Amino acid sequence: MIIRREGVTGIRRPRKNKQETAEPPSTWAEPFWERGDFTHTHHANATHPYWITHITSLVDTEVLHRDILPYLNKLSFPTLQEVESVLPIEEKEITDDPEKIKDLLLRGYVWIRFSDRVLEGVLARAELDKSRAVSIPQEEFSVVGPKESFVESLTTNLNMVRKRLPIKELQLQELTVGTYSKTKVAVLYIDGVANEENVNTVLQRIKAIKFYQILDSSYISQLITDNSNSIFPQMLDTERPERVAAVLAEGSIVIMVDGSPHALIAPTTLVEFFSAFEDYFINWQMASFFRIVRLFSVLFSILITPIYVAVVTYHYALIPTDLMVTLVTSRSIVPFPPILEAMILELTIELLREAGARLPTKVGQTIGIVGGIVIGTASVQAGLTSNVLLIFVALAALASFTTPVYRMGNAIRLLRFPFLLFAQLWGLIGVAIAFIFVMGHLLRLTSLGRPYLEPIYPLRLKDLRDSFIRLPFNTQSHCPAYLQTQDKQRFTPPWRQKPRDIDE
Amino acid sequence: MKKWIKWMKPITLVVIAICIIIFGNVRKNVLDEIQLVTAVGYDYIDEQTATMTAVTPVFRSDASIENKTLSITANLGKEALIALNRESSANLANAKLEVALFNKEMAKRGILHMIDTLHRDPNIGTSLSLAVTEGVTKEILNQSFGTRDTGHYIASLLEHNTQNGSIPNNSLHYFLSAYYTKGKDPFLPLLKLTDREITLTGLALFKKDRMVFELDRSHLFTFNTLYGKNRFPGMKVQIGDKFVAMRVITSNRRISIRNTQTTPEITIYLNIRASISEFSGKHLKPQHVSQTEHALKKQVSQQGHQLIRKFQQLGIDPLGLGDHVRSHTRNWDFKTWQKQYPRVKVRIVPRVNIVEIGVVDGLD
Repeated sequence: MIIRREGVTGIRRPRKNKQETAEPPSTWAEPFWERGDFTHTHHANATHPYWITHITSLVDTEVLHRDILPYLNKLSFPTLQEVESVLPIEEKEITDDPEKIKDLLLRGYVWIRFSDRVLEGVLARAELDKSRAVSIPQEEFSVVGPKESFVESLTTNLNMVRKRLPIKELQLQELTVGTYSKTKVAVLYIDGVANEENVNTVLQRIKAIKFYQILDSSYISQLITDNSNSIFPQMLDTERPERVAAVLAEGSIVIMVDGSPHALIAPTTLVEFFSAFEDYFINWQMASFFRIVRLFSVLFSILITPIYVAVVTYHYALIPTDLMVTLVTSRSIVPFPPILEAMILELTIELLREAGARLPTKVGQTIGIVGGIVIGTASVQAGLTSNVLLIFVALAALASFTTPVYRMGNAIRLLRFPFLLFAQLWGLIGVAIAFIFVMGHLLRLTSLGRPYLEPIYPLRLKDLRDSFIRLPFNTQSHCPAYLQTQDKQRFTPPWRQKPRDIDE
Repeated sequence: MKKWIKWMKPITLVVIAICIIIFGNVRKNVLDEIQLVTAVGYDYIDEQTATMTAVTPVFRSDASIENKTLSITANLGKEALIALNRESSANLANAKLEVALFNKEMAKRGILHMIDTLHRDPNIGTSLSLAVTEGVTKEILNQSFGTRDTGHYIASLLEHNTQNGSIPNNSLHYFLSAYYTKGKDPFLPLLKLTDREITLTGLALFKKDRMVFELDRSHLFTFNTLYGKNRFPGMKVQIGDKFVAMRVITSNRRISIRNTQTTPEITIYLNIRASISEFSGKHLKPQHVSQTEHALKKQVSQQGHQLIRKFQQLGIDPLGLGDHVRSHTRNWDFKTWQKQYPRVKVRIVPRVNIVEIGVVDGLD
């Protein structure tokens, strides 16, 4: 009874038990028998009989049948060393350490022995690494440029990055995090470019994580972030491999987690969240224009409803005379004060968004139509909301979708409500006070200890050429200053290069 | 004990938040729960009392506007607007006040205390239009002008006439500026209700805050030209038995001053550029153009001298000549200037240039 509990629950609760090692080998393997996917087979027909032990759900049977069994059957007077050398598998080893054996078995290794009485055997890797095929990015969709996005397999993801950075300086540090999940976490950086301090900070923070399960990169992001109470994401997550390659070359550090289609980029700044990677695929004038549009739309999205509430409640003098008729007539049938009206509409939009996000795509579309057209029009006709506000709220919702990073979009969604509250309390002064609070918070925020509001504060004029606007590539010869890179220059700017004129 | 301290911070924050929400409320002016006052009119009754009329637009659901007037006869206290609240169903809000009218009797007896009320209120901007009306303001304000709000109607009437140059810039700001500038006197546009329509009939010239002279519409062009850089929408001169109409007249002035210490001599050089838009004769010949130039020159010169003589007699200076002299004189003294002003020699030297005569010579 005791033995059984040891084995079965041992998977879920991997606590070290001293008694285990003392048990005889045969009984040691016994508890696994209770598991449906644990196989322990004796191959007596072979020239030299042997035992194979593995967990079927973790092992790629194709590898087992193609690369292991044929070679074992051919052996006549084998030793373990000979077995090890003959197997066409890179990762294999001979060991008799029960802890290690157990660990490797749970990671998809095959355990080959000549007798089930001894622990010593060859462990060869035959891990089943199946993941969904690489598809187009869903969250960071772009019209032009590559259409690859990360998948749930770390190997595939790393392949996509390595393919884009075939240099020996690309360093990869693999760590295992999570007492239960044993998730593989990879920290990528380019040696000689990335700041060592940043690399050490990331490694140190990841090593310090005491958590039972890491199911997605967002877990890591929440656990190692500078200020976990902030609604602003301090790490940029992306599903685009080319963005990862680009930031690695800039000197950022990328964290990738097995099982997560998102890579984390750190350190980062607030402005980075408003630049879509598509900006680098299009002309710099257009890219700059779109970035400015995005920035304005964010401000619009946060401020328009609070300003409406403030103006309608307190500052009627600010309304232009020609607009007065429209505003007053649309407001006059509404029985609620402006704040309540605004709250109702904002919450409706949030409801629609949440419902749309949770439902399958096809139903989601229907919800959008029902929400946008039916509820909107009906609520105005019923006199529950004014149509001017409906336009504002809808525009604000639309504007918040322009943020390329979904997490930042969420922060903006939430940010509107305190602004609304302050607008109701003290009008435009309240909006200003709320803005001061947000500004103060942003000023104090850091990403891996680097200022979050850079290049605005501290002012780095050099970084401004790839922030609110994007200047042409030939001006981007230096790495961003906030990354404090070792090698600052990425290429020689054209005006420093030697002219290649024939005349010379 | 330790547990208690741990909860201190959130509890304090919650208490502060509740306090702010409950006690931090300030007075609200919700847009649809107030009645906007867009125009006010003051009518003279006697030394102590006046009738104050306020126009408030009532917005209908079909986006049309109905004007409602409230009026009260009261002691000319500063809180007349507040007294009007007793007549209105919602709180009267004056931040959207666009125009203030004074009837002639009122203007002749001084409007400073009403101007003071308007100026002192931080809600009322200095872009407020002021005007003097012939007849009772209450009658004008009771009149509806189409489906528009009366205050906005009158304000835009004054605004577009200012913009196209019919009258010089005027608003509360300009009035106060002229009032407080030494060597300058304010003026206001003069309005009249004829046939249910408001027309601009001229300018009311003030000495301090009292209206002393009425400038007729026929003299507006000359006054504008003398007043400074200007553009005028159009005017007409007679040459022989024919009429010439001109449009887009731009003008600028240059003043030269001599003898500032004894008897100042002021020469106003005017440079007028115009284009002919209409000619009643058959063919517009070069001599007609020079005749037109001459006629305009003569008209400006004659009317200008007349006006300035009149101003000197009345002791008013709406053109701001005194201010101009001040800016060119060291140790300028207002009292001395006041004594000098009636005897100041003013010469007007107009130069007219017809720059365009249109695309045809004439039509047969």
